[in-house]
Amino acid sequence: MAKDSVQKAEVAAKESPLPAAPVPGLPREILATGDKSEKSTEILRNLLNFHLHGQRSDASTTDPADLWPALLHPFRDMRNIRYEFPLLVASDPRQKPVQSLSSRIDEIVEESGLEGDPKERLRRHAYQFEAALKGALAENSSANLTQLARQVGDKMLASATLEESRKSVLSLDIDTVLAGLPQAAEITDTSPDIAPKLYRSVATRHWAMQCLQWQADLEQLVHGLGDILRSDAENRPEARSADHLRNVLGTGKGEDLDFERMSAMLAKTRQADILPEPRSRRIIEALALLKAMLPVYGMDSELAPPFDPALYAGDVGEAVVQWNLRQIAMVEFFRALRIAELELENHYDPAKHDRFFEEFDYTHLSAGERALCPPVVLELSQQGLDASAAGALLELLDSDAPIKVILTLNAMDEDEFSGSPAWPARLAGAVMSLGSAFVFQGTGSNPEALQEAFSAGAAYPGPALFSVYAGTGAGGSELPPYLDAASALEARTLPCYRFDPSLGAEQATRMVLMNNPRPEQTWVSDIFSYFNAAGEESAMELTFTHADFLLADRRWRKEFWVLDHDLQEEALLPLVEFLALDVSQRVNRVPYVLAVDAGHEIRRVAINYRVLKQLLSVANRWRALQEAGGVDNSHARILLATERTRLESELQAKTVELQQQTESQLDQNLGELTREIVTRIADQLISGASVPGMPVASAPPVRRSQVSAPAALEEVAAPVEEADEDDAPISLDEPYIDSVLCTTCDDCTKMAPHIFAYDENKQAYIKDATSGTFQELVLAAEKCPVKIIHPGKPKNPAEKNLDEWIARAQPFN
Amino acid sequence: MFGLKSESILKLDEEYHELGDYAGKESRWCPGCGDNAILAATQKLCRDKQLAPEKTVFVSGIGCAARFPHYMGTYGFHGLHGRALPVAQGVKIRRPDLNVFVNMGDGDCCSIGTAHWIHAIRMNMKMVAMLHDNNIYGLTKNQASPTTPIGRNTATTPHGSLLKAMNPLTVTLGVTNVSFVAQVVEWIPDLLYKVIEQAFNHKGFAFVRILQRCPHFMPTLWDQLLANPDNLAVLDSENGVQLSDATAKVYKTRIAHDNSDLHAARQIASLEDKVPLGILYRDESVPTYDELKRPRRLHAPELAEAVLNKSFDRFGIFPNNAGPIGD
Repeated sequence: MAKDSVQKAEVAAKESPLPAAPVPGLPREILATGDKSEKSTEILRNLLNFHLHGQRSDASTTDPADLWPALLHPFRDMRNIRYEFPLLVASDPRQKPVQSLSSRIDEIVEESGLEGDPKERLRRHAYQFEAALKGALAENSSANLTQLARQVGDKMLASATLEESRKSVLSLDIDTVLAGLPQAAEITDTSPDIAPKLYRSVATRHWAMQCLQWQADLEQLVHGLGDILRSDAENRPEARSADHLRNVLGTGKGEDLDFERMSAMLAKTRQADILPEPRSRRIIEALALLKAMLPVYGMDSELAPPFDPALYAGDVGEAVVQWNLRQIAMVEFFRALRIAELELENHYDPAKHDRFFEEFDYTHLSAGERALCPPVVLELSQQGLDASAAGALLELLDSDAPIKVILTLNAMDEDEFSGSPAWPARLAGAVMSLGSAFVFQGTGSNPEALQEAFSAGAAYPGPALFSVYAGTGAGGSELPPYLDAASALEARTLPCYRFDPSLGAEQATRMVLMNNPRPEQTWVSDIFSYFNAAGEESAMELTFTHADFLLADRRWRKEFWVLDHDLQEEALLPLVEFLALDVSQRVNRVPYVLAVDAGHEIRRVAINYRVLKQLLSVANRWRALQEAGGVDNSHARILLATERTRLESELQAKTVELQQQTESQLDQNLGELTREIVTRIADQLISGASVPGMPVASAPPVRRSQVSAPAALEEVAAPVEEADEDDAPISLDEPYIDSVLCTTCDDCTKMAPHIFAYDENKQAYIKDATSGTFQELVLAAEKCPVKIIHPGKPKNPAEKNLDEWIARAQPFN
Repeated sequence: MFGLKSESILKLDEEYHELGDYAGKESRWCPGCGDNAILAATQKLCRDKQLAPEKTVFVSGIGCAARFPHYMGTYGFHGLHGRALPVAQGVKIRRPDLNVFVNMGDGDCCSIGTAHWIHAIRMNMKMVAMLHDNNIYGLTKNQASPTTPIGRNTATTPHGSLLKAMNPLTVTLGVTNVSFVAQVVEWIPDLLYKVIEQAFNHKGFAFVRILQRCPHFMPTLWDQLLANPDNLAVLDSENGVQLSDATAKVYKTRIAHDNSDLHAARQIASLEDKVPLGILYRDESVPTYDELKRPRRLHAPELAEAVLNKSFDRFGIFPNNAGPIGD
């Protein structure tokens, strides 16, 4: 119920120097006369009958109207309570998409830079303005903020009966507030269609940002393809016709130029290559498809898009049709896009690509491409979702189609088979169990959470379901829409959670239970203040359950029975106590909840089995959500207990072991000490020379190094030998080159290409030493600027002047 | 674009380029010329990075080194003397998707092309600029260049060159926005390759001075360095180049250096007794002109034409009161 914020608001309202709001008086407890009559036994029988079978015998008696769950009584008058509504929905993408009027007003006061009295004065005026704006809005659920705010400001000034100087201060303050309100925004109160309204605002913004990032890329592709076609047109023979030349050069010069002759002359020049016909056809087709999609991405085009991206589907069938249409269009578009990218680089190879693109379908789209498919938005109400439509919807939500479903719930109908809430309210849980779609469930009372979920869901590259209870609207609940929605959250009727598969594979990261008050408890309780029968102010702790939520709904009223003040029976039990009983103990007992009627009297209201059944179903579902959301998770609890037992037993074993060790050590030490003392005494007795404190003589310890000396020497020697080997100049008879040091200077390869060649790194090696003379090898070695050729020993002993060449080879070997 | 690049859609498209795929015409440089080593290292880099030959451009000016693009199997532009850098910048600004390399000789870069050199450093556009520095004009047969050592007899300084040689490293390190400066000798293939690789990985303008042999006109120029590898000092820094074991064994002199320290880089660049090798300075945070100036939308000829026509129409004279074309 976001009671916190309401309470905070109350406090703020009390602190504010506004005239005190008409605080609703505390409800009164009515003293029962306590007479136990036959009549009361009769009533009790009827009550039991009602509780077990749902039939009311006193159908003629009418229950008091305007009955509110006891805990909600303090909020009967919402006029001066500051809470999340009305909302400012900005149309300017640079501003916060959604913000409550109250928080904006607070920000304006804080941002004013004023301190002390002027600040408090501004705050007072701003609150007055806020209340007036809310009053003005009450007539219609949404309006243009700037216009309405100006009207309200003018009206406040006109009706203020103040002296001139104070009036001018008020005028200044109102101007400050008006200037601080966002321009180009809508102000909207809570309403049954708040979810689709907010989604449109958030998603439009998200899509615009998405488009902005890739408009430039798309534009480049379109221009690139256009460039290819244009330059091809200029290469074609038609481009050399006199008419074309005249068009290109213009007629400004009259007939000074002879275009016919120019054309004839150009015809003789070399013909440039023109695009092959299949390629130009591919480019033209791709270009047309790209251009047609430009409007979908917020760009201008002379071609109409294949579908209207701003269309919202109102039922499941329509959404399926829309999605099929878009799927075809998007596959064609991305096929064209990929062809375009290949064509731009002239990488399109019909042999490779034709088959691929023939079979190209939605499954080929990458995640990035899917994110660029404009999602189908399906706006559903609970009543528009019958069983057959629901089946189709599940299919859609289990596919990877970008379809965003905003399901607005407005009643807790009873499922005729199970007695659980009718299944539109359970859809979110069912879809979450599929595991592939983004799921959000929440209430219309928390616009911030809605907004966050909507932007995450809009960005999610796949289907998303937003199941939102926005209040029943006129006719359903006794409560105003905000309180109605808030109490659905408070009563666990519709807990708020988010399931986002894009956050990882683990439940702990995907699933978040959020904004639920006291998530560790089954029900939430709060302090209820009242005047007791003696007229004294008193308080007690009351629990708010699903039964309280249903009590406020007129459609469920016949399942409740308002009890007479005088009826005092032990069989009557508060609901919480009733629930705490064993099933066997519940026999012949009737649970009741507390409510307050229009006359501020506290009433007990008995509930029947239908309410009880749905309440138990809601509690079960909440428990399952707690488990899924990691609150008091039973697996974790069991694991924790097991681990604790294990650790404790290990600890105990360790302690015992240590104790034993210590004891045995102690024993050993004692023994050694005793032995030493005995030995010393014996030594002294034998030698007769007593030198107290002198250590007992013992052999000098053998030095370990001495023992292992030969081994150590070996150890040291070994690496030295190795190092020698490593550093030793390699003296081989074979010629070789240090190829890694070769600078590729071409000297040797040009001098003796039959001997030297380049390897795969373009560095020289000796390809075949026998194909040339030793003399050639030595000359190359001398020429090599980095001296890396080693000629070795001559292969052919018959070579001329061998002695000289061997001598000259010496420095290089 | 969303992982949709044509190369990544179909694995069928993947081609492996071998070293030979990057070879152009057969080199006509003299045997023993250091240009060959630079060519081999660059081709190896192209292969190891698998640069698409059609997406790679080598731009040069005039000189022996400027023949480089002819010997690469990629696109190339053999331009005007001293104008390699502006051409390369033009290529890069119009086609940011291309890998751009520039090959200049010491005359090309440090004499006639000096103005472009200075501004190319300041504009810091992503490209690898290699200065093939053999201290002489080879193509014009032994003429003195700005880096020719003092006292050297050349065709243009028959009595010995009068001026002290210019130090391209200190010049480069003195220009605003300098972001990558390295020096290497072409006869240590391991180091040459690794420095060019780091230059290629750099985000902006990477200037690599490569000391190079000219066996024909300057056969003894580097004898001191070749004979005593200890005169070459390899810069030792954490994110610098790491020599292979074989190379490290030969070249043992090291200077510890933090290549993010511009002041230290300038000091090292000014060393007279040792030749520092490796990355002197690197700063990846300097903004690059090609990014700053990157067009937000593709250049569209029809838009450009419309704008041009509109401007021309303001000055056009139309006979017989005829309006501009298209009206």
